[in-house]
Amino acid sequence: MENTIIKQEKSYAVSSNTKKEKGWDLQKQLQALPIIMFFIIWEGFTRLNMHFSFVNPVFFPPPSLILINGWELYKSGILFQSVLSSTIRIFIGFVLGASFAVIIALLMGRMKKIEFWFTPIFNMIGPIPALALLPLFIIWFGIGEIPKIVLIAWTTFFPVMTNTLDGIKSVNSSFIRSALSLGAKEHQIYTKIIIPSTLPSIMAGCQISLGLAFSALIVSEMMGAKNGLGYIIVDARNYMKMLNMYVAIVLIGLEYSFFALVFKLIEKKLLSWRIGGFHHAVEK
Amino acid sequence: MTLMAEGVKKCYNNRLVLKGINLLVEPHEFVCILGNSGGGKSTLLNLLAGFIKPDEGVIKVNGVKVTQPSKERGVVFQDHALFPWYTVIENIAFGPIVQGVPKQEALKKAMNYLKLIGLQEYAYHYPMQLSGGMKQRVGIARALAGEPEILLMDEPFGALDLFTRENMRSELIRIWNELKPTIIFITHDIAEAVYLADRIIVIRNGVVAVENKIDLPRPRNYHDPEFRILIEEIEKNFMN
Repeated sequence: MENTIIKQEKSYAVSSNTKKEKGWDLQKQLQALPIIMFFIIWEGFTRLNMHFSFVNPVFFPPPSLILINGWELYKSGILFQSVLSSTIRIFIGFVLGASFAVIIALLMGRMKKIEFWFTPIFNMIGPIPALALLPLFIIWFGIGEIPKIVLIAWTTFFPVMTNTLDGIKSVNSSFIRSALSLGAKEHQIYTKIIIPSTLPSIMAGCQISLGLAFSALIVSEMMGAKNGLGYIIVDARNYMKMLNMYVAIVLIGLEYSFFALVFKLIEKKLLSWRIGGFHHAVEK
Repeated sequence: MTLMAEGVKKCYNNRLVLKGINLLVEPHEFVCILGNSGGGKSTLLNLLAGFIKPDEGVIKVNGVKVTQPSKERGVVFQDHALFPWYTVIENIAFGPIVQGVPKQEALKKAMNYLKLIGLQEYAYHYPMQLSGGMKQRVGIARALAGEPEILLMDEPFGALDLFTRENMRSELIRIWNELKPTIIFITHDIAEAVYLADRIIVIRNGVVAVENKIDLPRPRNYHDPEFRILIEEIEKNFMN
């Protein structure tokens, strides 16, 4: 998105272009500043706490100790194994849930009958917190990978489905009319008009789902798992290994940020045609 | 390519918008349909395009009844309706591509139409990066690239400023002279209709009120005395 704008400006106003590119880069670097400050203050406070014991220092360790502990865990191999299996679970569950959601939404948008039968049922079962269903899934599917993946897919499904359906319904009818009068057939209307113009809604739904899917992942790993970040937390609680717990918590945050970043990149690539928002409304 | 409408009636919200329209458009003719806002001219265009169906009466193209949109009737919309996720060139190539022309050939064809409207250097821009007049030119090129037999234009210059609008009119006449498509052009602007049309059809109260043949040579001049007389004449018919 930024790229196209910059490219366009380049051809018209060379001088203002260089200024803008620089400003944007600086802003990007500044984004790390609050995060760095957060860790510095955390370190400072917990180091003081180790001397003055405002709270029990074992419960509230400094980031440096967490980092060292994380390195030890990594050397033992548990950490890599856990991050890997968590990543695989969330990836498979999320992709399955999102794909099903888009397919069902397209069918519902296409056939009134399917919408008539499915909408009330989805409205009824959609709001049930997925976590309430986990024990049921474990009884149904055992304690292997399947209940975890099903739970993640289930959580991902609803936000993506409702957002996609909403997007399909708000496709500008002029686009469809214009495509039809240019000779497009029905399947082309889907691939060339409805899906591209619904993409922003699908992405919005995916973003909502990503957060929910992470909760589903961690909780499912807390119940009947032998590895994974959620497992480390439960294990740490059982044996009072506070540092391990912090390592897992920080890693969950990092992993979520990683997925969110990948998402942003995909979105930027797919939706490069979109220009809007305050950023483009007013120049500052 | 002849377009014919016989006794076309259409209701909207329990109000009879069109009360029996009869129309005959000859090949290569440039017809303007003139009417005031809410007078059913856009409804008529949607009927001709096949987007909506008449309650009574029939619309035929070359003797075949119109039942759905088709590539033989290209449409230019007032809001241009360019696909924002495609670049200018991809927008114009859309018609040929969905009609089964191989991609490279379609893009080449699109480039020719882009040259026709003089926007080659914007081929890889997105519609949102263009001005209103440029967007509408792309809209016209896109409709032409679908190689329709008849071009339906729904107040295409209605949203443009006066200066751009006048440029667009002469541009359209230039394109029409070059390709000679049949055009049905909807407008509420009398001067625009007189500038463009071979024939003006005035729609009032849901029926064809009056028809005027315009025999002025092109390019027409807004300040020509004959031009002014025609406008006044149509204005009289239009108002009462």
